[in-house]
Amino acid sequence: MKRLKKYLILTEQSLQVAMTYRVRFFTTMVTGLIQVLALYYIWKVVYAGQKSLGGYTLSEMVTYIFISYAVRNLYTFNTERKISENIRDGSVIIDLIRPLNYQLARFFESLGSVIFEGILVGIIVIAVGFGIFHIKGPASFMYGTLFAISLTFSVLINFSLSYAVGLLSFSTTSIFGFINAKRFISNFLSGGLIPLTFFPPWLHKIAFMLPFHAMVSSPISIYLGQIEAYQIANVLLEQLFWVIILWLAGYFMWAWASRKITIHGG
Amino acid sequence: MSSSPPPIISVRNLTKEYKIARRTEGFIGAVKYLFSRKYDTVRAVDRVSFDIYPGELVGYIGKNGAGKSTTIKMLTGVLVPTQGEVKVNGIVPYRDRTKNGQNIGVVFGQRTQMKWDIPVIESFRLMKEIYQIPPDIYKQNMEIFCDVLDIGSLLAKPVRKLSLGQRMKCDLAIAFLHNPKIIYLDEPTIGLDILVKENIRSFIKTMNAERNTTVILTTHDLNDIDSICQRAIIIDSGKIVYDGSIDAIKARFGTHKVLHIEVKDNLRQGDEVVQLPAGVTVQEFGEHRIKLHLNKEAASLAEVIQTLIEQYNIVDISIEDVSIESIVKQIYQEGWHE
Ligand SMILES: Nc1ncnc2c1ncn2[C@@H]1O[C@H](COP(=O)(O)OP(=O)(O)OP(=O)(O)O)[C@@H](O)[C@H]1O
Ligand SMILES: [Mg+2]
Repeated sequence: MKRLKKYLILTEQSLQVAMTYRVRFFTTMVTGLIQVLALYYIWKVVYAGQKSLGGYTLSEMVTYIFISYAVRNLYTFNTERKISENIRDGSVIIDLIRPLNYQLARFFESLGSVIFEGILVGIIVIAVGFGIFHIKGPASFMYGTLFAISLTFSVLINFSLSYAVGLLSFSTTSIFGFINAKRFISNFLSGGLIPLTFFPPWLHKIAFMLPFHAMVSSPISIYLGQIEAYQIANVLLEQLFWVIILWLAGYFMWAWASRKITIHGG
Repeated sequence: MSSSPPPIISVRNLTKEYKIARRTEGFIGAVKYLFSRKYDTVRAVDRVSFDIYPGELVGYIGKNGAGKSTTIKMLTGVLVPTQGEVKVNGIVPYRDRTKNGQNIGVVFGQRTQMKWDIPVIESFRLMKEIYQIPPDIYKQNMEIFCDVLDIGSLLAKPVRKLSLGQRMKCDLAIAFLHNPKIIYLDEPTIGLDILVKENIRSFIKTMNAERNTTVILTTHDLNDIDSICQRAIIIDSGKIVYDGSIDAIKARFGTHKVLHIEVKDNLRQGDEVVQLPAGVTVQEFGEHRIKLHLNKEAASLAEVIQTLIEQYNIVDISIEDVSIESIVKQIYQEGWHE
């Protein structure tokens, strides 16, 4: 309990920091709404009279657009930049001295923006979705609950990937190229831009071998009730599998990075 | 005399080498750098040994790039030595970094421990949680800090709105918050005005007197050392050139002064000052400026000024103590002979 308190204060304070950047909050919200609206009108044109595309009716697609935006936005991509800056400018030495686990500390810190920019913007966007575009709710109460669990895993996977990329990029001079590539790949292969059912079979296969789909596609398919109840356990277990693998990867990368830092002096 | 306790910090032949990738200039250089890397090694700390006992106040001084920060980083465990041994309170810092962290407080003058965007008090709260400081100790310490460092009115301000001196006082208080046995201060007075400097000095002395906190401090201001420390370790190019009492240094160099003289006459190289007493050396001469170094024990200040007045049309004179840099230079060149 005491151990948890050490980390929860990091979340509380990063939430305070996030709240001082109100302009960023509004730009996230506005660009989010614009993206969602743009996608809405594009899909409306694409559907043009067709009943269903890629297994989605237009109304399911509209729901997909809104929910996938909220899911994708839940974890904002600041972790990579913060970690690589923290190491490059040398402030990491303060973290090295403090009696905190670096990986856990960064995770709890990132939850501050998950709460402020992730959950809050998500709720606003989804409220617009429900109010104006009549998107659907979760398939049932149980599906809704399992969706929430799946979202938690999604945040953990998202964090772990960003953490690993952040640690990798401190040793390169082109952090931004690195981070942008990761962002694009993960948006695309997660199903954040278009549902994975639209992918050609080979790409579909690849997408399901990689962890990205577990970040967006998995929770949404639960939300939409596209997965039979008995299969949901599999989806959640697969997410858990990625959480464990990626968390361990991050653990070893920090061992590698901190050894580098303490031997070469950053 | 009672038998002295064992040293709290013990360092033997401590050495740190940095590897620096060698890069030639320009595009070709960048391409070469992609494919092969050659390294130069820089020996930043070179077989340093010392013992520091509980409650000591030690000044660790030397020129820019002498290896001070590198030593402090090894003592705090954030750098692994290339060679040699280091033990702090029975712990090898780099092997057991966080356990060592419980016993130490650190200020790196060049950077802050505090979160930029939120009020100062939040950084104190954070320390309270992560070091699990009992509420009564936290309260007691905050009272002392507000009292001695006068930071009470700063606590509600966001860190980015603090002046450098205010920020430094807060960082210093944070370092002391969990009652560490040892405090490392790497340039805690850099860029501060004299009032803040004095405030910080008296705070460090108070904490040392009340808690027997061991303090190691680096600085370029000889007055910091003079007012806080009993002992100085002087390091140059990674090697210790002096380890002993401040009094001995003062006895040796306290009588040394630097004179800056500004004159109306247009001075040319060649027509150097004539007939200066022994014990005075000319360090600069030209344009409208003369810089002299003198040892008051060998030459009388009045006599030197008299000589100058007779020869030049003097506009301004200032007299300074010799800088650490030149003391180090002198000790390094001439050695320390008792
Ligand atoms: N991370 C690093 N990589 C390579 N060389 C380094 C690194 N850090 C320090 N050095 C070199 O090691 C030497 C000692 O540096 P250090 O920072 O310990 O000096 P210092 O005594 O603290 O100087 P200052 O008074 O300027 O702070 C310098 O030559 C410096 O260039
Ligand atoms: Mg330094």
